[in-house]
Amino acid sequence: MELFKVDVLGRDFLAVAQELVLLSFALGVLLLGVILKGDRRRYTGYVALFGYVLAFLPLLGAIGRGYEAFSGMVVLDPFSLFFKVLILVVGFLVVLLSLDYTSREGIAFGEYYALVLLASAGMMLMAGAAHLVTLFLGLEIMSIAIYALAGIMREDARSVEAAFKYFLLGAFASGFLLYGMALTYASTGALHLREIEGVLAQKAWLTSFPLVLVGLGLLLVGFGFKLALVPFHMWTPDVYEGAPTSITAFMATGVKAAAFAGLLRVFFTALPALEGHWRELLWVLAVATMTLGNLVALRQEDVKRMLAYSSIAHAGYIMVGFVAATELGRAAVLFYLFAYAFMNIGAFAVVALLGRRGAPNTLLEDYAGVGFKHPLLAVAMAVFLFSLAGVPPTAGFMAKFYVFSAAVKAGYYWLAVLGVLNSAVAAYYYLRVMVYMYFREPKEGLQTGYPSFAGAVAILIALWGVFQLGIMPSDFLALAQRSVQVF
Amino acid sequence: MSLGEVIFVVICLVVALGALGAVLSNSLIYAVFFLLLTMGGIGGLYIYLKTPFLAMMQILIYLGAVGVLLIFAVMLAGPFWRRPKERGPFLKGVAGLGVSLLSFILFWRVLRHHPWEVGPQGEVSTSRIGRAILDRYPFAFELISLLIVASILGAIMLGVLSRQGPPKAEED
Repeated sequence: MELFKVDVLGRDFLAVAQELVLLSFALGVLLLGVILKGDRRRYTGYVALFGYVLAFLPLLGAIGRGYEAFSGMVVLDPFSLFFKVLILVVGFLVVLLSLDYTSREGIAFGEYYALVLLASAGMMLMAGAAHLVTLFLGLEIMSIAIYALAGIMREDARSVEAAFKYFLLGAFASGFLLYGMALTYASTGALHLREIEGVLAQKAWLTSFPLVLVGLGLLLVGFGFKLALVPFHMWTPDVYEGAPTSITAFMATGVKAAAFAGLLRVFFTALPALEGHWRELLWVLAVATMTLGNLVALRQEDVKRMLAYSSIAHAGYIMVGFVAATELGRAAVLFYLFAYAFMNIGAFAVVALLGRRGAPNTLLEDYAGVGFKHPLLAVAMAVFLFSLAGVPPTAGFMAKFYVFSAAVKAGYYWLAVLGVLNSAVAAYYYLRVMVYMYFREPKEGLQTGYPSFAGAVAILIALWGVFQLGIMPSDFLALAQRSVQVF
Repeated sequence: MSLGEVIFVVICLVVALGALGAVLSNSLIYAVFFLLLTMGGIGGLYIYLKTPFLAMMQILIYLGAVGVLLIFAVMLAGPFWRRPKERGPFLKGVAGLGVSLLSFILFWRVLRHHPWEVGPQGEVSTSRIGRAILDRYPFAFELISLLIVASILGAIMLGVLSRQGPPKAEED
C-alpha cells in the first residue's frame, strides 16, 4: 500500500497554504468573538478582512507551478489558482459589504465571519481538488457553512425558511452527487480524476461500464443544484430572498464559481471520454436555464427575487461556454465568472445599502425616486444593471461576447442565437429598475439608505472591476486561457 | 440447506417484513420502527457477506443516527389527528408493489449486464480501513474534521439563543 508522505512546509503545504490561512483566521475570529465584548465584536470583521488579504501572499510562491500534493488529493495549477483568486476577491468584497450590514441587522459577529471564511476555504478546496473525495468534502464544508449563514437572521421568518429549504434540498443534492461519485467508482475503480480518465480512455467504456453514464447523470444533478440550473433551481428565489443580502451575494457568486470549478474539473479532467453524451445534455440545460430564468424574472416585483432569477439566467449563459468546450469556451467561462462576481456583488451591495433594519426595502416600488434621493448609489446600480444586461463598455458585455463567440466558433449557432435573444429579453427587467429609480416619484414617508463607508468601498471596487474587465479585457482573457490549458 | 443459508433466508425475511411494515403500517411511528428493523436486517446481511465494518457503520448510522432523527421528526410533526388522511392499505400495496417491481427489474438488469470489477481478494477488515484512512487518506480525514467544525458552528448558531439578548430598536 502506498504510504502517505507529507513534505512539511514544502510543496504539499504550498498547495493548500491559502486555505490554511483562511482556516486559521476562521478559528481566530471565532475566539475573538468570544473575547471581545459588546460593540467591539465588530472588529472581528476587520480581522477577517485582513485574513483575506493575507491569503493572497502564498500566491507569490505558487504562480506558474503545477503538481499534485498530499498523494494526489489536491492539485496546484493555474486553473486552481485562478479560482482561488476569484474566491478570495469574492470573500473580500462580501466581508467588506458585511461590516456595517451585520451591525445594522444585529447579526452575531464572530460566528458570521468564521463561517464566511470556512465557506471560502471549502470553495478553494473544490477548485483545487484532484480527487473526488476532496471535491465532495470541499463542497460539503462550503455548503454547511452557507446553510447556517442563510439562516443567521433568526428573528426573520424568511431567513429561517431560506436556511431550512436550502439545507433540506441541498442535503438531497449532496446525496445525488455522492451517488454519482459512487457509481463512477463502481464502474472505473478509481476516485482520482486522472485515473478515472485513464480507465475510461483505455477500454470501450460504453460496453464495459454502462453504469458510468448513470453516474454522470447523477453528478450533473448534484452540481446542477449548486449552480441553480433549471430544473434544479426551485430553491433559488426563496433562498436568495430570505438570506441576508451579503450572503445572497456570496451564494450567487462564490458558490457558483466553486461549483463551476468542480464541474469543469470533473467533466474535462475525468470524463472527457463521455463528452459526446454530456454536451447535448448541457445544451438543453443551458437553453432551459437561460430562458426560464429570464422569463420569470420579467414578472418579479422584488429586486432581490429578480436578481435571483437573473442569476439563474446567468448560469445558463455560462453553460453556453461550457457546451462549446473549446479552449476559448472554457476561458470564456472563467472570464464570465469573474465579471459576474463584480457586477453581481455590486448590485447586491447597493440593495443592501438601500435597506434599513427591519425594512429591507427590496420591493421595486421602494426604488421609486432613488435616483434623486441617493444619486451616487443609483448611478452605481445603473452601471451594475447595464453590465448584467450586457451593455458595452462593461464587463458583462465582454463576458457575453466571449461566451457566444466561443459557441459560434464551435458550431453551436442556435445556442448563440438563443443566448442573444435571451439577453435582449433580459434587458427589459434590468431597465425596469432604472425606470423606477429615475422616472417615478418616491413613495411618501419611506426611509431608505444606511450610510456605510465599507459598503461604499466594496461598491467602488466592484465598479472598478466592471470597467476594467469591460474596457481592457484582453490581458485577463489571456490569463483565463492560460489557466484552462491544464485540461 | 446449510445453516448459513438458513440464516441468510431468515435475515432476508426480516428485511422484507420490515419494509412491508414500513409501507403498510397506519401509524407513522410504527412505520419508523419497521424501517429500523429493515436497516438492522441489512446490517445482518453485511455480516453475512463478511464485511463487519460495513455492518457496524450500517448499525451506527442507520439504527443510531438516522433512527433517532426520524423519531425526532415524528415527535415534531404534531398529533396524528391533525395530519392529512393517509391512503388506504390497498393503494399503498399497489404503489409498493409497483416500486418493488420496477427496482427489481432495474437491479436484475444491472446485475446481469454489468461486469463488476472484482477488487483484490481478501477480507476488508476494520484495521485495514483504519490503516487506509491514516496511511493513504489522512488529508481527507483532516478535511472531515473541518466539516465537523463547520457543522457544529452552524448548529450552535442556528440552535442556541442569541447571546446579545433581544434585538434593540434602531436609533435614528
